[in-house]
Amino acid sequence: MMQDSKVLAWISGGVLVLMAGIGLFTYRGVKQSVEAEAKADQLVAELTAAGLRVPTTEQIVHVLGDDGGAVCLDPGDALRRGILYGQLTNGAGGPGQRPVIAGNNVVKGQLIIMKVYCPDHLEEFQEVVDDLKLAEVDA
Amino acid sequence: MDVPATEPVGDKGAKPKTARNIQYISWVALALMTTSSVASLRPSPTMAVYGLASIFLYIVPAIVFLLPTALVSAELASGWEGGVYKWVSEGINKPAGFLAVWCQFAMTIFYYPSLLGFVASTLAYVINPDLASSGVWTAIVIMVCYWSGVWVSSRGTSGVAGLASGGLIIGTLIPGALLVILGIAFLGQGNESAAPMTADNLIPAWAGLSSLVLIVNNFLSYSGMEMNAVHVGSLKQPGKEFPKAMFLAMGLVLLIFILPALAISWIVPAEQLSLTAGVMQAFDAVFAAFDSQWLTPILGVMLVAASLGGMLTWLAGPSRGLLLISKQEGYLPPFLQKLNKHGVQQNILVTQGLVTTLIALAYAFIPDVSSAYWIFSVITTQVYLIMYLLMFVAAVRLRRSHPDHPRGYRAPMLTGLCGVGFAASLAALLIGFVPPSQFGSGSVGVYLAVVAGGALGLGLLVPFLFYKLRKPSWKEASA
Repeated sequence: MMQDSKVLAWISGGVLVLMAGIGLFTYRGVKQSVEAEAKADQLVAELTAAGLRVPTTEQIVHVLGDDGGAVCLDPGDALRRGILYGQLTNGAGGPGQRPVIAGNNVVKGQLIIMKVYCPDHLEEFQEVVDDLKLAEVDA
Repeated sequence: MDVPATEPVGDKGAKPKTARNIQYISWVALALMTTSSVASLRPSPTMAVYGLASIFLYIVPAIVFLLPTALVSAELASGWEGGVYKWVSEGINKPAGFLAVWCQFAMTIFYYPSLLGFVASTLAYVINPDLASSGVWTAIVIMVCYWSGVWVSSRGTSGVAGLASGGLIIGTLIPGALLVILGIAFLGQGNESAAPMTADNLIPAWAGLSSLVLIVNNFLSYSGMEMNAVHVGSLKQPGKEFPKAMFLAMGLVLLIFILPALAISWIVPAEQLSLTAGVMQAFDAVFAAFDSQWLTPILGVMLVAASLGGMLTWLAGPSRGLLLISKQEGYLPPFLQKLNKHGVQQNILVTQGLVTTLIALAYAFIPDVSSAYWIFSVITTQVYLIMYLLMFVAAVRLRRSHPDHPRGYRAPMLTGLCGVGFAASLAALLIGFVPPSQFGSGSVGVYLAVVAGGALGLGLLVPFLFYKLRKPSWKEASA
C-alpha cells in the first residue's frame, strides 16, 4: 500500500511538472505595443472619470495587452458565465461556496475594460449583468 | 504512513470478511487534509474586493461557526469513532444519524461541478486561453479530473491523505506565502495600497440585507471542518491526535483565507478584478506589478493541484460515513455497500460520479444552467446545515447522557459552544432563503418554493425513503 501511495505521488507530481512545463512553453505574455499603451491610457481615463481606483499604466499593459486578454474572450460563453456567477459568492474555498448579493462595483470595472478593449462584446455582457440582482455592498 | 492493523475504521462491532490493513495517517496529515478540504486560494480575489474588511468577514464567522464546529467535533471524534453518523446516532438516534451523514454526503453533489469548471478554465488560462471556450476541452478536463479522483479515492485513505497534503502545500501554502511576500514587498517599495487600509475600513460598508447575506453566508466558508473526523480511526492515538489536528487546521484555514486576500487587495484595485476572466487574472495582475508574469502559468497549475487535492478529501470522507452507517443498519442496497479490495466504497463513488459528471457537463455547456446551478447549490448547503444542527444537539446530549465516556479532549463550555454554533447554523439556514444575485429578477416566491422544496426533498424525503425501503437483509450485506 505504501508503494501504491508513492507511485501515485510520483505520477501526480510528474503530471503537474509536465503541465507547468507546457504552461511555461506556451506562455507568450501580452504584446507591449503602441496600441496597448494607447488602450491603457484610455482605460485609465475611463476609470478615473468613473471615480474608480486606477492601477498603473504599466500593470494594465502587462495584463490586458492590446486586446483585453481573457476579459474579452467570449464572456457570454457558458463556462465563463459559470465563472462569473461563481465569483459572486461568499469567501468559501470548499463546498460551502454559496451565492450572495454582490455589489455593483464588482462588474463596473469589467464593463469599462470591455468598453475600451472589446466593445463588440459589451452588449452581450451587459445583458448578462442586467440579469443580475446587484446591491451597493462595497461602495 | 502505513502500518498493519486489523479492523476497518468505525466498524468495531462488525466482523470483516478478511483482515486487512488499516492505513494509518499522522495527525499532521489529517490536519492538512482538513485544511485542504476547507481552505484554498480560490476565493482570495473575491474577498480582496472587500479590502481590509475581509478580515472582519472571516473573523466573525470564525468566532461563531468555526470555533464551535472545530472544538465540538474534536471532542466528539476523540470519544466516538465513525464521524458525524456515530455522534448523532449515539446522541439522538440512528435514523437521525443517517439523516446527518446523508446531509453531509448530499451537500457535495453540487460542489464538484463548479470546482471542475474552475480547473478547466484555469488550465485553459495556463495553456491557451482560447481553450476556455472549447466544449471538448472543458468536457475532457471535467471527466479526466473527476474520474481520476474516483480512482485515487478507491485506492484507500493513505493515498488520499498524501495527495491532499501535497496539494495543499504545493497549491495553497506556497503560492499563498508568495502572494503575501509580494504584497509586503509592494508596500515596502513605497507603493500606496490599492485598497484603503485605515481603521475605518475594518468593518464592511453596511448595505442592509445584502451585507447581512454576505456576513452570514460566510459562516459556510468553514463548513467541512468536521468532515475528516470519519478518518479518526486512521490515527494511532485518536483521542490526543484529532484535537491537535483540528487546532492546526483552524490556524491554517484562517491564515490561508485572510492573508492572500489582503495581499491581492494591496496590489490590484477591486474594480479591476475581472470576473469572467476568473481568479487567474487577479494573480496575473499581482505578478505584473513585479514583471514576473512567467510565474502565472506555474501558479495556475499549482492552484489546480490544490483544487484536486481538496476534491479528493471530499470524495473520500462523506461517502465513507454514509457507507459505515448503511452497512450497520441496512439503509442502502447491497450494491451501494460493496467494497473494493482496498475496503473503499467504490460503488457509491461511481454512482455519485455519474450524477456529478452530468451536472458538471450541463454547467459548462448550457448557459442557462449557470443560474439554476447556483440555486441548487444553495439547496445543498441548506441541507448541510441540517447536519450541523443535529451535530450540536447530539454533542450536548452526549455530554449529559455519557458524562463519563472517555474522551481524549473535552471542549470548554460545550453547551455554550453548541448554542452559538446552533444559532449560527440556523441563521445561515434562514439567510439561504434570500434570493442571491444569480437569481436576477425572478419571483421571490418561486425562489423560496424551489429552495424550501429542494431542501425538504433532498434533505428529508430522500433519506426518509431510504429508511422506509430498507430491508433487514441489507445489514452487513456485503461485509
